[in-house]
Amino acid sequence: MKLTIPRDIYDGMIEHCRNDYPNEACGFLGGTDGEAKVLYPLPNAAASPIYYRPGDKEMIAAINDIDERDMELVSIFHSHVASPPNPSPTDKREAHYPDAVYVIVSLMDMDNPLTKGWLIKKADWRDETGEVIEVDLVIS
Amino acid sequence: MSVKVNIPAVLRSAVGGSKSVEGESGQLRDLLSGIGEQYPALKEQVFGPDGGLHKFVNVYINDEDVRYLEGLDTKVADGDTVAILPAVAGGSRRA
Repeated sequence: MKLTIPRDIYDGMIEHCRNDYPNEACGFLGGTDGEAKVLYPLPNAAASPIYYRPGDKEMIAAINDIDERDMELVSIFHSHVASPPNPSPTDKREAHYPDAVYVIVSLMDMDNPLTKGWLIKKADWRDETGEVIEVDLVIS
Repeated sequence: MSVKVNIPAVLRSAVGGSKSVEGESGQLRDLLSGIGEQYPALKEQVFGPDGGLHKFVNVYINDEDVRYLEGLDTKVADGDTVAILPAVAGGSRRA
């Protein structure tokens, strides 16, 4: 399993994460067939360095745009400002999109962000626990 | 006129693959229950065991989260757009 992210979209995602520092940043990637095509930077309504929740209006607009363009929500991304890019207990519990790659951007080293992708598969999407599978990120 | 209810990808298999379904205006509870009669698998996933909205299901009426309106008692008018979305959240918080 892999997710391809074009360089310009990747750079835009990193820039959005840096801009929201010291709080966590979040957003969506729309795309098809495991390739991101559109970046949707979203505001973090929680405005927190340890938690994110996208703003409702912007999130719904992004979901609608993805639908109208016949794309899929290929990724939900967010930043960790002081920890590695691995899913935290909160990330795992609150992941309810089994087909989206949860991309985490670590800004522990602001000049050299570290990015990883994860699928969080649950028997029922509403479950609080599930299996975490790393996804190769291909920056093209 | 009726009410358009947008269905998220994870729930589309419960409504035959549609991106949206139509329902009747009125209380949100009745709108969702009415749609749920036609699509029982949708109803099963949207409602929690206590009959309220499942805690990881968010419902919006014209982009407003119904939890900040009147919940399932919120009135939905003809022409309104309802969106059902699994909750999106997370972060490095450890618990």
